Amino acid sequence: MLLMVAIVFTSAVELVMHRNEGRKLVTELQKLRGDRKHLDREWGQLLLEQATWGAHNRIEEAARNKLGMSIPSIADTRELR
Amino acid sequence: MSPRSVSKDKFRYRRRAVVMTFLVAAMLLAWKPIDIQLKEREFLKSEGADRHLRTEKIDASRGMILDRNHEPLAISTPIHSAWVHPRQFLEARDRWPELSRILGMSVDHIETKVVPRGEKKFVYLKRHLTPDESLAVRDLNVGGLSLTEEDRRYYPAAEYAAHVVGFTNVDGQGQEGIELAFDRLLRGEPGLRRVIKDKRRRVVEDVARLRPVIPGQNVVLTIDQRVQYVAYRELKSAVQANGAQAGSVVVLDTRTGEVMALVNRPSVNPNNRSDLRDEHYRNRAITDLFEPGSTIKPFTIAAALESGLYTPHTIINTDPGFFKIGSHVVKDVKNYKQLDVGGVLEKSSNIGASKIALSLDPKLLWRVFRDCGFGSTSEVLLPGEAYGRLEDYPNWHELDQAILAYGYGMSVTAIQLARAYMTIANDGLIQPVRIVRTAEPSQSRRAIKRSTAQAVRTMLTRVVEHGTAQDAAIPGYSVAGKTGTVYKHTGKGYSDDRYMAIFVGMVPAEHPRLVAAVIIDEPDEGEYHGGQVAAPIFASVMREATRILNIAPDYPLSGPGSGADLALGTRSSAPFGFH
Repeated sequence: MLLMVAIVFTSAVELVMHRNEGRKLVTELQKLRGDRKHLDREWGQLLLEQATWGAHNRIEEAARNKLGMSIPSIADTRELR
Repeated sequence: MSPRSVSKDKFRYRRRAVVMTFLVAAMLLAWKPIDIQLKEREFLKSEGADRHLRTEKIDASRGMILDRNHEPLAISTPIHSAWVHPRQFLEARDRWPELSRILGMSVDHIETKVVPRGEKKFVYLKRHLTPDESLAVRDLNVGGLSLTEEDRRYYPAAEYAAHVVGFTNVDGQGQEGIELAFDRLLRGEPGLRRVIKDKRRRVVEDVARLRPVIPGQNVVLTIDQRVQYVAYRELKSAVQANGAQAGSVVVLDTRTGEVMALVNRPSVNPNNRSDLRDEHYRNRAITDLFEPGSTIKPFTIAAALESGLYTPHTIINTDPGFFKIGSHVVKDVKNYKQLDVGGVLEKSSNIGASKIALSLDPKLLWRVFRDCGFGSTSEVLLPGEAYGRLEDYPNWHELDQAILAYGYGMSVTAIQLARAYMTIANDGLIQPVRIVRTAEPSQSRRAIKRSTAQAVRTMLTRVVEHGTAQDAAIPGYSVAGKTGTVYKHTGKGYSDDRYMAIFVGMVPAEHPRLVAAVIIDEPDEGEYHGGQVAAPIFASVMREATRILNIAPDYPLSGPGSGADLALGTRSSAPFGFH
């Protein structure tokens, strides 16, 4: 009888502890999900930034006007084979 | 009797009453927990749950739209919107002037937004703030004013991919283009879950997933952003230089039927919602029908070759430069006298084309047109594609058959015309036009004989080398193509000073990799012929597209298309036989 009481008591305490542990883990998972969402967003914004900096008209304008580059004419092209 | 027993007697009833009361009270108390456990259990449980169980929506963010190299064409990213609780916000009226300065809205405007909705609990004040605005609003801390996060769609390719990609409305629903056609897939589906929250509103337990979240999928297009950009740049400057109303360029990959570039002018920057007007965002290349004019002639010739009555060298007499059918007169630019079949294409002779068409069985001519994709759609998965028009042959009169031969009395869209040329490029196989990348191989079927397609292609290289389309030549490559200059049909018949200049071509001519159609609507700076207006755009787009896509030259770089004799069905005799 005494043993039973002891077992029941221990299991009750265990239950509470695990419940608490579980809740903590859920909170952490929640936080990590939030982080992931945040990182996803940041990634999206970085992609956008990259696309903006790398926009064709910007690159073309920089290449032609700032760096004085041009597409080689046919006279300047040699075919290797 | 002792006074005690007297009193005992005296209070006997009173005592009993008290005891009874206590007893009843005790019984009631004992009953209550039983009652709660048994009878009200469900009700109380649900009441309890209501206080900490919550059903939460899990948002699905909208997928990206990417080009064939996975460069982004549309991305969603969160942004703030300002909303107010009107009653509280009205109390903070004295702060409105500051707010109006930050948001760039007049105080009157704020008032008209908020005052009529005074009973509500949630009114948007301004949606999609800039990051600066949202920071300033947060610092301002006006009563009743809050910020909420919403996704906003950005289009890095701005105006040069606007017609293909389309755009969403302020609530993130697709309105045009791929955004509309693939709205369901891009959007995904928000999930629902049941959670337990503690008193600080943190989720402490995931109880159940009521509905799994389906995240928005990315859509990968067949467009190559680099080719798209070049096509747009060249089209834009040409439309401007020619004082034209509009224009379109479609570039297709002949091996797969994939759209490499699809651009229109006028265009619109979809990041700026305020200038979204139909005439700007309409995807003309798929919605606008026009008569193909001379660009149909290769198909008339294809029908002639299929009939077995003609070879590329059959002579046709176009003398004296005009030709009467009833009261209608078919005219050429000048009297070309004797032309062979190839010469009819090279000089773009209307008389030659009509004479050939009239000698053919209408059913055969119709069959070739039909099988090459005229009178139907290109099967591209974009919303709003117009059906091409091609009358059934039993309804044709002699005149119909004669003018169909040079592209009047029927209509196509730019993308349908490009697709038809793909059958010539593809040795006679027609395939659907695709704009979304898929793993499945394309379904092609035979439209015309292999030998016919090759012969027509050889004749089309003559058009670029010696004929009406010499401006379409690209150094280092053999080019095949056909010009068209079409009188525009206005409400009351054909206009004599409004034209459409068209060029459709393929490169390299011997083993085509790319087909492109160029349409310029109403060029107004003197030149209006397809060969003068549209062909140079083809050349400038293709020159860059071949470089970008690493398509090897098939002619020596020293001079454009000097090896003129691509023999029928045999290997090229060009000095640098490449394949």
